[in-house]
Amino acid sequence: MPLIKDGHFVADDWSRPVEGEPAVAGAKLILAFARLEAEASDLIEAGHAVGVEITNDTDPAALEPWFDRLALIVVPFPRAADGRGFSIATRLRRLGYRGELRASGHLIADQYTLARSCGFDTVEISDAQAARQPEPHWLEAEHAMSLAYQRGYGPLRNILGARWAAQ
Amino acid sequence: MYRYDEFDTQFVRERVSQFRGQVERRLTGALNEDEFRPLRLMNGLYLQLHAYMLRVAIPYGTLSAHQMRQLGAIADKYDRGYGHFTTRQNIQFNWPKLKDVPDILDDLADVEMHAIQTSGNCIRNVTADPYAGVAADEIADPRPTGELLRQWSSNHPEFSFLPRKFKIALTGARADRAVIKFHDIGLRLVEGEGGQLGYEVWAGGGLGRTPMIGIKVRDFVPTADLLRYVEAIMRVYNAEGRRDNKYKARIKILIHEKGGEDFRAEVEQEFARIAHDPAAPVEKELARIQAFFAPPAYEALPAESEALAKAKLANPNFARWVRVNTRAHKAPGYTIAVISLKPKGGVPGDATGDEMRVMADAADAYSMSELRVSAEQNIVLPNVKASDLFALWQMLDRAGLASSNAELISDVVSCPGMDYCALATARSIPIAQEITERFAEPVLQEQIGPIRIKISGCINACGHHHVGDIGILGLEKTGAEAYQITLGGDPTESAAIGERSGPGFPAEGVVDAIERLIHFYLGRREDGETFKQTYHRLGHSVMKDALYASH
Amino acid sequence: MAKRAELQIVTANHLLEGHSVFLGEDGWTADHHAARIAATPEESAELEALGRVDEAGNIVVGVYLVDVALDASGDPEPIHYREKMRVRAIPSFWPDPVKARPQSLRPRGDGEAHHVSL
Ligand code: SF4
Repeated sequence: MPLIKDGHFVADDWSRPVEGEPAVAGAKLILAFARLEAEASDLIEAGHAVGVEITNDTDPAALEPWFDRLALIVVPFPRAADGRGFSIATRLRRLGYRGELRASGHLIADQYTLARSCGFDTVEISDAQAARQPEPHWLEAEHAMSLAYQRGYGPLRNILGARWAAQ
Repeated sequence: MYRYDEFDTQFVRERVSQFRGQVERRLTGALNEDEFRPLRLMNGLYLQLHAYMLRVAIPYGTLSAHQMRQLGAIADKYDRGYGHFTTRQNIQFNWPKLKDVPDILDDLADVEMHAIQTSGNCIRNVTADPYAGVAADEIADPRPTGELLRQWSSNHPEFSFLPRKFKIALTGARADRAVIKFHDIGLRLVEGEGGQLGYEVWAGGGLGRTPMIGIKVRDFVPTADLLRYVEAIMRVYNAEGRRDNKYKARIKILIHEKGGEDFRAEVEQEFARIAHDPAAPVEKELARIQAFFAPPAYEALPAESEALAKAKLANPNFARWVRVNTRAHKAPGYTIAVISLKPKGGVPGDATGDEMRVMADAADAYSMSELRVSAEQNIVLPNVKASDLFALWQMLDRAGLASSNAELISDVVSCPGMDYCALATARSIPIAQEITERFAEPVLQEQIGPIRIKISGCINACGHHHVGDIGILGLEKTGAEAYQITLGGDPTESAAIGERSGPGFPAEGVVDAIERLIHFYLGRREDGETFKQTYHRLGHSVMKDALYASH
Repeated sequence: MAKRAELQIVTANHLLEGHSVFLGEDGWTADHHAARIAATPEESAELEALGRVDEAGNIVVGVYLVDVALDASGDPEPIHYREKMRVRAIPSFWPDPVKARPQSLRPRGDGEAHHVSL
């Protein structure tokens, strides 16, 4: 599945290991949340970078004990209209998660700045969608809006801050 | 009034070009309809029965004469010469073409207006008391908070893809003219200890297929904390609101299923989490906005105008208009004037481009260039000197805008219904027209007294029928339009959901039934009673029987 | 309980302009009398599928079938009151119009269909 970072389609060096199969040495592995408890510690010890894929209704606070050890959290977007992931990302960032945050599923280019503002670093979409919405759309979308009113979200220029600076 | 600064302007302009790009991508297929729909809806664009419809926000109902003129120009240039003012302080254009919409949005941006978030599953245009800032019964002007909320909710990164639409209403007065108890969040300005201003917070109200009166979430949130508190409510809703069934996706259902106590506790918990968030404080911004809403310099005028008294004596029609269509203003010698958009046989809330220009001129000449839009689909001139009323009335009268029926029986609220709306199950406008014709007689109208008739063309209840003294809901029954009547609804602080009467009426029978009920009420009412009072004294079953009694 | 009507036509809205259109013999038309009529469920399915091609081709949006009956002159008229109002193309309380009828869309399949103007 195509991965978008900073507006560009980039190679994805993470993989989702099949349960029961041995991991390739050094592979960066995404585990389902349910497997985290049982498998993550051993994998980390074996030198793997470990990420987790949660579901839409996972309480972000449940991940807090893992923050230091997780290099990636994947938040699903089952439909572009389902915005739960935006709140999950916001909460994860405010709880102090600093690793990579990835939105995965159906997120369209026009939601890209919203996703980035909520703390997502990367977006993973389907091949079919990437065919309709190729890289230039994402690059363009990233620059469609340059200002935001809300404080505490990134990376757009904050209007309130700009106003106060101008006073 | 609030004025855009360079940042507001840039934001709205960028949004217009973004939408222009989205339309282009839609036409090439880069965006399919499923992807485009939420984007166009968030820019106010619907696809209706006959055409696209563009809904433009009039934030907290406040409009300058200049803006009103531009709305008229847009109606003439891109539409069929008129627009429709809605119960949620928006204006709808019924015939725009998709290819013209970006240009219309640019024309709106020229006068500091937009259509952002007038639809879609996001935070909608924030509505307020149409008499905000001027009402005699007001504690403080809620519009600065309205503007703060408008900005904060615009393109919100976290809350733009909610389970369902989200509506916020505000009032700063004792009487509730903003229907706050039927909003997803309703806010009422109150004075806390030591005169500190804050908000009483209501949530989970709504009409539609499951009408509910909101619950009070908190007695008092200091003004400075308000955004954070709203953010906490939104976050709980976005995370937990149902997404499996769009009819159960509003916050009212979440609160109902969770229970008020649990919901409150969760909001409080989230609020506590973000209470010290350094990103949140907005007092400074609120103070900046407040300066725009400083009361104008009112002249020191006598409370009673001699000129007005004379003109009333000389002209009974004018006297009636003053009696019916003016409201108490906080400044002596000033008054609030309601321009009724409910002429006999007219379409409730519709105004032509020419009429918009007359209203703009009237505002320039007699109301400090300001107008308001009310939930009753009327236009309000908030700052009229009593001594100017006669000249104002003459001007309105010449343009056919001086119907003396504010809050009377022919001041019917009506959604567009099947004449425009793709979701409708029946027409509503023709019923409204028939009512205004049946009860056109001014003396009779005043005799009947204040009464709210509200009509919706389907269960979505855009015409607020649940909160009418008489509510009319258009449905389909065995292949024909049928109208179900509810009685006893109330949109104000004494909020009530109307109770259903018996079987519905065919289109030809519904106004007859209402006439029977009105005559029954006139016969049975005690001195000085309003319809509502008589209804409560006699009770629902007695009143509803009068609808059917056909002897 | 809705009984399937014998006859159906296909309708949609024109993507660029918004007004309602009907699938006729050579493409979409604003005149429902010129609509192609399906007389069997198979024909309906075929007609609808044809409409969906143009939906996917971004010419129209919201394709659906409408039950019709033939009027005295043999033209299809919708049966349901909603569709009766829709084919009129203006609010029901407007005086009976000479329906301001945009010309037909260009025939289907000319390769640049979404540039059609009405
Ligand atoms: S109440 Fe129904 S018919 Fe009326 S405008 Fe709303 S959705 Fe349309």
